[in-house]
Amino acid sequence: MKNLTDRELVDLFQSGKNEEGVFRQLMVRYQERLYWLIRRFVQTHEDTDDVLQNAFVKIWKGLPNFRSDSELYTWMYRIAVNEAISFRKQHLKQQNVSAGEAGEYLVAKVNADPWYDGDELYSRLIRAVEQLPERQRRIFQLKYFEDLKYEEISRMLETSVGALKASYHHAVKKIQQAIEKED
Amino acid sequence: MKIMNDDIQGQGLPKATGSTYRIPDGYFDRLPDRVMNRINHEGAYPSVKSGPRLKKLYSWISAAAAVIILGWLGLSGPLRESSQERRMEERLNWFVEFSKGDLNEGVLVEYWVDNDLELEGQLSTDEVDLLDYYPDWIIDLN
Repeated sequence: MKNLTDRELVDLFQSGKNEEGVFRQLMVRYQERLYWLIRRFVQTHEDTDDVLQNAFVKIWKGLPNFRSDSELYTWMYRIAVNEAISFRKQHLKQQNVSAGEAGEYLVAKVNADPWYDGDELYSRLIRAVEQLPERQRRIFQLKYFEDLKYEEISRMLETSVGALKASYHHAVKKIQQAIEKED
Repeated sequence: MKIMNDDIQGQGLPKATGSTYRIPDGYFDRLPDRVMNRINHEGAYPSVKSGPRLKKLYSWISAAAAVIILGWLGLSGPLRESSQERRMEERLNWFVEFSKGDLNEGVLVEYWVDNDLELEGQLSTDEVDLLDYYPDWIIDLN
C-alpha cells in the first residue's frame, strides 16, 4: 500500500475496502507535514495534537466525498488550516483574550510549553505574526514557515498569485517593523 | 526526542533553530492508533458504504424526475398551447435572443405593440393598468 499514489488510496478508501488500513497509510504519509503546519498556527505541542486529531477525524469523515479534481494534500492542508484557525479563535474567546492581546498571550503560552525552546528574537517573531490581520497571517505562515509555492497557496486559499504576493510582501514589512520597534 | 529540522528562508526575519519546536519521542508512531481509537470511540464512520448507495439513489431519483418532466411536457404541451401562443412564444424567444443585454419592460411593450399582439388578453387587469404609466410614444409607435 505504501507505493500507491494518493489517488489510488482515495479510490481504495471510497470503494469501502479496508478503509481503516488505507486511512492509516494516509495518516503516516501526511501526519508530520500537517503537524508542523498546525504547530506554526497554534504553537504549543498539546494544542497541535488536539487540532491534528480533529483534522484527521474531519478528513476521515470527508474522504468519501473527496473529489478527484483537487489534490489530496491541498484538501487536507485546507482542513488542517481551517481547524487550526477555528481552534485559535475559540481558544482566545474562551480565555477572554482580545485581538490586540493575542500576541502577548500566545508568547506567554508558548514559553510555558515544555516542548518549546525559542529565544527572545523568535518570541518577537511570534508576537509580530499574531498582530497581522487574519488573512495576512495565514498567507505569511503558509509561505514563510511552510515554504509553500504561491501556486499551492493560491489553490488552497482560492486567491490569485498576485494578491498572495502583495499580501505576503505587506506581512513581511509589518513584521520587520514590529521586530525593529522592539529593539 | 525528535527535533524539527527547520529551514526557514530569507527575508532577514528570525529563524527557528533546530530545537525551537520539539515533540515527544514516538509521537508519530502512536498518532494513527490514537486517531483511529478516537474515530471508533466517537462512531465517526465515514459514509463510504452509503456513498455508492447514495449515488445510485440520486441516479434513480434523477432518472425518475427526468421521465416525469419529459412526460409532462410531452403530454401537456400540445394541449395547452394554441397555435397563436406558440407563434408568440417563438417571436418572443427570437426577440429575447436578439436583444440580449438591453431588455427591459419598455422595450418589450414596444415590441408587443409593434407586432400587434393581443396584449390585454395575456395580462391581468393590474398589469394592463401598469401600461398606462409607459410614455405615450411607445403606444404611438403602433
